[in-house]
Amino acid sequence: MKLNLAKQNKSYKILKIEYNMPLISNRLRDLGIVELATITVIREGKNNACLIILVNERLVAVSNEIASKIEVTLNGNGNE
Amino acid sequence: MVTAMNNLYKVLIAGQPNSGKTTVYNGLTGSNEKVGNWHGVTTASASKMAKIMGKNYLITDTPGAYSLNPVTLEETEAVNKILNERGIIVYVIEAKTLPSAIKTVSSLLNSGKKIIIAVNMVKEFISSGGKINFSALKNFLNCPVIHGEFNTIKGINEIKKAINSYVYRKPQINEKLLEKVSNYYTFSTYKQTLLDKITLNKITAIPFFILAVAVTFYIAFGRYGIGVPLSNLLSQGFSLLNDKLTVILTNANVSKFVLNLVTNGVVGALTGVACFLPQTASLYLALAILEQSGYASRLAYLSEGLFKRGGLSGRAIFSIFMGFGCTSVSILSSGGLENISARKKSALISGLIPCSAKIPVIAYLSSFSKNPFLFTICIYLVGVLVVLFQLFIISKKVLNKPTVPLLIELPPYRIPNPRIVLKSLLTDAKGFIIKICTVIFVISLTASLLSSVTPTLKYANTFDNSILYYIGKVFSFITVPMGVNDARLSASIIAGFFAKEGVLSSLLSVSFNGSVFTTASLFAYTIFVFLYSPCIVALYTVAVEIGKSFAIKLSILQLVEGLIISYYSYAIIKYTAITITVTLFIITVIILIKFIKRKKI
Repeated sequence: MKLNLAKQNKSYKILKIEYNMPLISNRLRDLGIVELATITVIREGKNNACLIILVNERLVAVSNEIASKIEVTLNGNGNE
Repeated sequence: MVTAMNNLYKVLIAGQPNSGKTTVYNGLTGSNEKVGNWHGVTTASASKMAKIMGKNYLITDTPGAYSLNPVTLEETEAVNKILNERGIIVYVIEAKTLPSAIKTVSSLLNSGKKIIIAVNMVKEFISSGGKINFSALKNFLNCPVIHGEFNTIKGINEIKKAINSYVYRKPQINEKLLEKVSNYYTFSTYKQTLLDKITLNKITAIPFFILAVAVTFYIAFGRYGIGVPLSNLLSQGFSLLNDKLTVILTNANVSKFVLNLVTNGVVGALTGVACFLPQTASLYLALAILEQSGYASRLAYLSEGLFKRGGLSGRAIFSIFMGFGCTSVSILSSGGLENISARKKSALISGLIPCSAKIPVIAYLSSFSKNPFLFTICIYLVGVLVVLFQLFIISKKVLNKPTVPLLIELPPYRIPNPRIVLKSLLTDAKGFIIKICTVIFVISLTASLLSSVTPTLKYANTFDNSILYYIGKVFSFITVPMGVNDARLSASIIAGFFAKEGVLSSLLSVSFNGSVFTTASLFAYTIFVFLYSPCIVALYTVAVEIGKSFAIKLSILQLVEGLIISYYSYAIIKYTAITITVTLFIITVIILIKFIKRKKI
């Protein structure tokens, strides 16, 4: 599933990032949002422009536009 | 080894955003550079000489950069400095982001850079369960590693010792051991604070946001806040001074010209500045608290939805906020936005925001209406419509480069340090007084002078004989379609080009009482003053920060918008039925033309 549809207070593993804009790709990497990283959704993206995730003890606001290009799976449970 | 040029050593303070670089810079140099718990506070490098243990150093602060791959304009500046400048780099790292920062540090060490790693905010990290093995880290990197709280004297002294005793060692980085983070680092446990539960919650986030904005504005502009009572106090003080000076100068038999110059000119100009300086300073204070606390990033997150529809990102909220203080400051703080297109879009709005110079002008003009409160609301509503027009039509159609979507770190909430808040306020207020108030003062004084002197350079007994009156007469055609033909009003518009406060100062200097206005003409004139071109100081800032061509276009756009809307406002209030009929006719014709074009396709 895509990150913009992820549920609040659940942990996910990032499977694939399909965002092509180099500036954003670099920034995602800088913030630790990379493939195989574990993230927790603090505030979900549904009905909002952004969602908030916890990654490497960092709180990061991610626009839904970016989140819709990140494929994730529920952490430890395989595919959702 | 340090770079020595005539016994001058160079030190560069670098690191990720919000790691404490500027705090370290201020500590080493004794400066008062702006510090905040918000990414994008430092938008340009600053340099200062400092003596550390008997040696002279040139210390340079840089904007934060997450890595050596810059995203924003100020990150590009920081990375260029890091890669190209020689000297020691004090790389400041926030303890909880150490693993991500280490990759950048090891790249720099491998390229031969001289690095001192300064790990900051260690106490906070340890108290949430984190651990760092500093000896192991030092061994893996083979470079000096210091740690502590660098907002304290003890912390700064540690850095000074490290700089002074720095000895270059060839990098011998143990990449394998460094890759496995657990060899030197244990992550802390995230606990959502109560404040974050309130400020990020689905239900309470927006009410809290509105409350924060309302409190910010109340502190600056509320009757029982800080700005307005101080402003009233200053105005009363200057009024007393004016009375005393009038008595003294009259008794001294000075000429009417000198009396007028001192009382209406100098003291009048000071009174004009005193009207909005406390309010702007209070706005700076409120914003400094928001910055220091960490709420500023949350504001960006909450604003993203609304701003995105207009082609901006939530990051623009801060620069928009600053526009309520001063348009120039708003343009300067848009340096934290992603690219020039974003800055242009932000500038389109900044020029329309009622800055602290415009607010007293609007308040003064609305005092001539029968219901000042309702009058002011209507003015601001029209202003909001124009902002929306510029945001959704001009910004999207003309500046149609897609905005970089929001991706921003939300730093932890921190209790604002009163010392740092006060320093931040004093820095901002000082910059504002030097840059803006001096210009306002000169413009007001000039307006007073021009209203006291005839074209033949003699004392003008009445305003009708003055230079300003004749200048106003030349441009009075501007105000005729607004329903007024008074040279004082057109002259004040000219003064307003130099500083918005000039509109108020020039009308006060000629004891204008508003008797020439009807409801329609008052509304039209006020709307024009509200909307027309930004002042010269703001335009100059736009020209320097964004480009001369854009500054000229912005000036013309707002002038034309102001004229069209003010003329239309007059027509609709004065000739309501005819104006509405004509407007509906024009809209119908436009719709018909579009319909016919679609049919043809």
